[in-house]
Amino acid sequence: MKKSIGITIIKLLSFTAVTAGVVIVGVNVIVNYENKKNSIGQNELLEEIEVSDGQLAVKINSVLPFKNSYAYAQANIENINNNLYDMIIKIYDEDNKLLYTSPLIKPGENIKELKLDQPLKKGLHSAIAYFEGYSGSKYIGKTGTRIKIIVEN
Amino acid sequence: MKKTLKQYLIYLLTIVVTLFYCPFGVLAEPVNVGVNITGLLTIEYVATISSNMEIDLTNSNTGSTYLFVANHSNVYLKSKITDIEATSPGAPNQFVGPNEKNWNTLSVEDTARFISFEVVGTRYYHNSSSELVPLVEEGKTIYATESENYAEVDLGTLSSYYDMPGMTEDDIFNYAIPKYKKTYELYAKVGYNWLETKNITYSITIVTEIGGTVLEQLANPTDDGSKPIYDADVTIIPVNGAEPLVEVNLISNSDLLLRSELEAQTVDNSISRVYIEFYNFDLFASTETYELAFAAGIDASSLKPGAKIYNQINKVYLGESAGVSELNLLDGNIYYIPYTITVDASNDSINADRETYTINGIATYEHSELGS
Repeated sequence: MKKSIGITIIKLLSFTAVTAGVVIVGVNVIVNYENKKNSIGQNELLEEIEVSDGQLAVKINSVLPFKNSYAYAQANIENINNNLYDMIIKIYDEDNKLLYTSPLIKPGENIKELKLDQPLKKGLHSAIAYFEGYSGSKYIGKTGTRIKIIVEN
Repeated sequence: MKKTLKQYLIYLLTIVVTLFYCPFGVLAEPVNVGVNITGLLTIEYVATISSNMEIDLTNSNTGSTYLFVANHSNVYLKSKITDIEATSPGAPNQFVGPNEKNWNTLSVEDTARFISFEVVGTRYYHNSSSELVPLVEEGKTIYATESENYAEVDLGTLSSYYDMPGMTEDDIFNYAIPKYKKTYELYAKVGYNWLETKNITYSITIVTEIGGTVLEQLANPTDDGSKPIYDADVTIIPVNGAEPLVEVNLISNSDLLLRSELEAQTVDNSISRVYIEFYNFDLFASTETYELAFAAGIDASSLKPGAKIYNQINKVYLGESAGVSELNLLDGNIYYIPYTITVDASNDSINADRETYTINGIATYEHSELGS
C-alpha cells in the first residue's frame, strides 16, 4: 500500500514537472507572438518625420499588454530625433487616476517597456497617454492618445 | 525489496530526465501562429502643442492660429479636442461661444472673464503640391470640461500615412481618401475693454485614437460607366506554421499586376489591412487613363462566437474625371489601395481574442478604360 502511494506521489511529481514545462513554454509563445512586428511593407515606405517648432511627434503602442499589474509591457514610446522638445509621458485611466509617469526622455531616446506605478485590476482598461513637451524646464504643451491596457492576471 | 528500490530508482531517474532533459528548447521555439496578427499597432503622429496668436484690438477683436496634426501610423486616427484651460494668471477663463456675448460692448470685468475659441475650418495638404486647400466647415466652439455646453470637438479622421504612397497626380483622391495630415484653423474672440496689453496662454488638449474606417471616410464616387474587363480573386489563407498565404489569380489577361498582403491585426478591435498593389506593365498605354474599383468580401470562419466582421469596400478611381486628363501609370509608381477588415472582438474574455483567426477573402476589382 505504502509502496503504491509512494509511486503515485512520484508519478504526480513527474506530471507536475512536465506540466510546469508546458506552462513556461506557453508564456514564451505569447511573448514571441507579441514581439513580432506588423511591418509588412512599412519599412520601405518610411520617410523622415518632419517636426516644426511648437509641434511634437509622439509614438506609442495602441495596446499595452501586461501579464499582471506589476509586470512590464511593451510600449515602444519614442521621442524621435527630429523632435525639438524633451518629453514626459503620463498615463491616466478613465477616472483620471495617474497610472504611470515616465522619466524625462530627450530626442533620440525611447522607452521600450514600462511598468505601471499603480496596480490595475485584471481586464481591459481604457486610458489616455499624455505626452508633455518641455524645453529645458519650461512646459510647452501636451498632446494625448487613447490607448488600451490589458492586465491578464 | 530490492525490486522495489529499483522501481523507485527508475521513477526518480524519470523525474530527473523530465526536469533536466525535457526538450524545452524545442517546445519553447516561437510557434508561428500563421496569421500576421502579431504585433501591436503603434500610434504615431505629429501634433501642435504650442501655437501663437496675436490680437490687435485696433483692427479687430479676433485672432487666428493653427493646429496641425499629421498621422504617421499605419492605421487611421481620429482626433478630438477634449479640453481647454487658461494657464496664465489673469487670463479670461470662461469659455463661451463666439456669438454668446456682444464682444463690442463687454465691460472691463466681463472682458477679463470671457473668451471664445472656435475651430473654423480644416485644411488638408494636397498630395502633389502640399498646397493648403480650405474646406468650408461650420465652426465648432471649444468649451472647458466644466462648462454646461461642454462637448468634445471632433477634428475628424486622418488617413494612414501609408495609404496611397505615390498617388501624386490624381486629384480625385483628394475627396475620396482623407489626407494623413491636416491643419485646423482656430479663431479666438475677446472683448475690447482691456486695461493693458498682455500675454495670456491657454492649453488646448488634442487626443487622438485609432479610429475611423476607410468606408466612413470615403465619399461616394460614382462608378457610372465602369465596365468590368477582368476580375481577380485574392485569397488570403493564414495557415499554422506558415506565413499568410496570399494568392492572386488573374482570370483574364491584364496590364496590371495585383498583389496583396495581410498586414496586421490587433488584440482588441482587431484590424487587418490588405494592400492591393497595382503596377502597370503595358508600356504602350502611357496616355491611357483608368478607373479602378475594388471590392472584397471576407468570411472569417474561425472567429470566436460573438465576434463581428465589418467588411469594407473601397472604390478608388484613377484617371480621367474631375479635370484630370491623364494619369501616367508607367512611371514606376506602385499604387496601393488599403482594404480594412475590422473585427469587433470586444467582450469580457480578452484571452480569447488571441486565437488564431482564419480569414478567407475573395476580392474582385473592375477596370474600365475611360478614354485617352
